[in-house]
Amino acid sequence: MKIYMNNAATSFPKPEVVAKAVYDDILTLPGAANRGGVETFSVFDQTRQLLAELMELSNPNDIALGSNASWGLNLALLGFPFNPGDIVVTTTAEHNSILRPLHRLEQNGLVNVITIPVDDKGRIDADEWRAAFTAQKVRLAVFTHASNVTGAVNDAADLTAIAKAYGATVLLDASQSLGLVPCTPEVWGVDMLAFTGHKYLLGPQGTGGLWVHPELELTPYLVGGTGVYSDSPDMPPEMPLHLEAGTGNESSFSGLAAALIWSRENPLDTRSFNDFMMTFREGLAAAGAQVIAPDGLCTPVISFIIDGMSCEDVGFVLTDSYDIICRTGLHCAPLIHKNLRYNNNGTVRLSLSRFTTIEEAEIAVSAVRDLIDGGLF
Amino acid sequence: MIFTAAKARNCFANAETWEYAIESSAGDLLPALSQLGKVRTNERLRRPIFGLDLADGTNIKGILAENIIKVSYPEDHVNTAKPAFEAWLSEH
Repeated sequence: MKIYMNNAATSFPKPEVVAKAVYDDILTLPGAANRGGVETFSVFDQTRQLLAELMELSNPNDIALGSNASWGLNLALLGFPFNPGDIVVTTTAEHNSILRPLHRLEQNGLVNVITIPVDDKGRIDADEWRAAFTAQKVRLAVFTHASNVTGAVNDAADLTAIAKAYGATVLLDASQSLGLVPCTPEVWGVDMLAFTGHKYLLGPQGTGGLWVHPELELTPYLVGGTGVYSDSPDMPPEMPLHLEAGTGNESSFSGLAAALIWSRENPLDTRSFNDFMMTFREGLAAAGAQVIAPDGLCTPVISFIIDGMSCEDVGFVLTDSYDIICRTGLHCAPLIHKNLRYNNNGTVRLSLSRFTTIEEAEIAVSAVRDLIDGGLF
Repeated sequence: MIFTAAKARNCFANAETWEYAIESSAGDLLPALSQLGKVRTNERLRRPIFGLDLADGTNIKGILAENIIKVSYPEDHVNTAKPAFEAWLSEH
């Protein structure tokens, strides 16, 4: 029996209703491609409504639905109305889904990117963040709500308030947080939020999106068919069609909608879950692992190293010898590692979900203890 | 020995790790592997493992009871180390 601890990449298992919804959708007549009408049911509109309720958004139609958070981040960054020479502030905690679009924009000479370091637990320091805005006029601030390497949750409201005080637009990456911690971008003053459906929202892969504040207009990075306004050479001006070119992933969004309903009916006991994660983290540390343990609010991501062993070797033993599916290396966030205390070559990451059991955590701690006590060889 | 090889990727662009599915268990291959270098084993883990480092920097490891071995070649001379190991493997 495999023990799945790679939920920060993709959550598993999903609630059974998710699988059923995907299955049922495939056996159902396809939707009406935005043609509307009183008898039309759109799973996309249903999903938008559920997401808007989750994030306390005033208008579900400000959410464009697409394939994942990278899709949303690319739409946000590559469609943002930059002027040549604009400055973008971001952090070393970011995923390549932010770093690579920004790199492209910088390579094209459109923007200058300032990357501020995070602390040795992976959290954005408010003073460092503020200093970036006092030093220069910043057009766009981009940051992750939670580190996918350490689990440290950033104070998105505070960081947004700082950036907004200096006139910057704010893009928040909620890939690692939505479904786990409160996330209310409109309340916080965020301008854009990208999210994915297949992590802690418990939906299928191939679902995600971008919420855009109604006062901000992006140039659609992707253009194409929308089912309506076909007589216009341009994308429709109205959201969400403005950013949704091509046929949507109806089956997977049926699964995501089911997951959102299930999660609402089965709310996560965050206190117990957090206690469980802390106990797990402490168990790994007691076994001798060098655990990155941020204070305060965290997602259930536990990164560690073992002195004298490569992350790859630790991952090999956990996965091949103990059937614990984990992730080793840089976790697609290559810059954060130089800020972490332990090394610059990555970590072993165990990421939990609400379905992870105490017994599974004990097996993982036992495996790490075996490895530390006895050595690799 | 007939084997099937597939590249195993990780975070680093220059990683040169390959997995080989072999006809026997890795444990059965140990006597032959020991001719290439000092084989180390760890029997205390849930599924015992083995590993060895070759003189050219190639690292070989796997689960003793399984028929897949993982081989990491030195990036600066993978073009010679990989054919050399595969030639050796095909002869055993």
